[in-house]
Amino acid sequence: MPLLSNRVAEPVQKTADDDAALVASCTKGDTDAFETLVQKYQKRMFNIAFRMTGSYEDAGEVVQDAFVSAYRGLKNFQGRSKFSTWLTAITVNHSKNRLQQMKARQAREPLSLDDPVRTEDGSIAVDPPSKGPSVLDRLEARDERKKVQECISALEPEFREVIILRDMQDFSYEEIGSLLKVREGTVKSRLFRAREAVKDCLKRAFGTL
Amino acid sequence: MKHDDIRHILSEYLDNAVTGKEKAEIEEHLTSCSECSDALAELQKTIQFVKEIEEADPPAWMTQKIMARVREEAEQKKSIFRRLFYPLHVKLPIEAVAVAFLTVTAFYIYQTIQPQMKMAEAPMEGFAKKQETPSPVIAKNEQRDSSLRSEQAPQSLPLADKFAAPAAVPAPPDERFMKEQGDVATARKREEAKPFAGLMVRDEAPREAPAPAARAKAFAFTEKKEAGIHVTVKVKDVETANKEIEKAVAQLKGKVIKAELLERKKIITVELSPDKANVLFEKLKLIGEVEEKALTSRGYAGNVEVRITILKN
Repeated sequence: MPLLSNRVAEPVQKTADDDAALVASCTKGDTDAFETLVQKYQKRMFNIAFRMTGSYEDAGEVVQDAFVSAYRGLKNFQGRSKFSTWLTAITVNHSKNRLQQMKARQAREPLSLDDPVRTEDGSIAVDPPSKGPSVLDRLEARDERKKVQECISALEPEFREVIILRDMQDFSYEEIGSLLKVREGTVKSRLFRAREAVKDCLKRAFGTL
Repeated sequence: MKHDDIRHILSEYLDNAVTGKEKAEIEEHLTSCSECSDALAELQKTIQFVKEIEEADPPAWMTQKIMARVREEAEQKKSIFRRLFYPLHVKLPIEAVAVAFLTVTAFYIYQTIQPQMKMAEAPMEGFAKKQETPSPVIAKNEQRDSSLRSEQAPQSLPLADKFAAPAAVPAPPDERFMKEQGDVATARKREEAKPFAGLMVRDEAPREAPAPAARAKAFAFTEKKEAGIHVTVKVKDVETANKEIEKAVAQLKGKVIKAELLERKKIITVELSPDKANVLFEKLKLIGEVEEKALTSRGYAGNVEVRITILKN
């Protein structure tokens, strides 16, 4: 029996948008209402951006850009989806744009031995040798969470985003499809491949799961 | 379902995103396939690892930075709106002044263009009316043309011409102009050669008086044209009316430069200041029934020539 079926299968209840009143105030120019929304969602958006970019600094900039874009685009927000879902889509898009910029930046820089290696299921990061010779660094390199993040970061963006949205943010397949503007079947397929790639990565890192 | 198919939907199975039938098949397969069972267990652990990743806290300055940018954005929007519509207490008077200025300008332009339009449509609408709104600029521009027209269609000349002629020196005549002048001179000679009863020249002095150059110019001008303003006055007694007209001309400091006595009418040509012409016209109305015949440009040294035909009613 699947261990996670009860918790993961239930899509997040999105019958009504709790933020509707705040959004309405924002559209009338109430910046304080928008600040409330920022405080409410900034951590969630930051984590999405952080897992997507793998960089704390870049994630900070992505979240800023995402919120400013959201503020600009509030007049176009139809309310068909929840504000949080709409905001997540903006954040994911900004994260992908940032990834492209980072990629272009890396392309201009000399090739590094630490660069990800292309595989059939996406890019898998090479386990770089520890920069510091200290024992502490070696122990950190063994840290599970760090390894998981590295494995996620090694995925191509289209695989990375589905695993983040599904396994970290608990969005349903339908919501992910709506967010990314892809079909539900595509979401399932990408999620399967992403999970398999992370599993393989973790197995290589830990030896066994 | 085959082994590979089941292997590929294990991820969905974990999310409980498979149908009941699929779920039953998968669970039956898992009991007999250790590879799929192991894969499922590893997949479960992987998902667990991903879910257990600790959430990162955003930088403390995050809200402030975002809101600074948002407020800047909001201010820009407001300032554009304000620039267009606010403050009303300043904008409204400016707009009102602008509207008033445009109205005055439009009215002025209309007033300037109106005489030209009227000339084009109906050059001769009324002597008195036109005298009130003379247009020297137009008259000056039209001077030469009006001279030509005076010979061909004297009834259709605008009043403006009769005031402008003395002040402005005509442009050098072109070939066509000279030819027409020759025709006019011939016609005039023929007219003068006609027999008529009693010709009385009252005062030829003004024509003789000017300096040689001015005189030559005046003569040339005279030769070019018929009489200036033609007015016909229908009266009961020609002689009485003639005296009254002469008296009126004298009062207006004008001069009778020519008088012709015919059978039932008398034609007198007077010269007076253009601004007195209107007064003379009013006086003529008191003397008899006034009828305009023609208005042409003619005058000397700033005066206008008026030819008055006194007809017995």
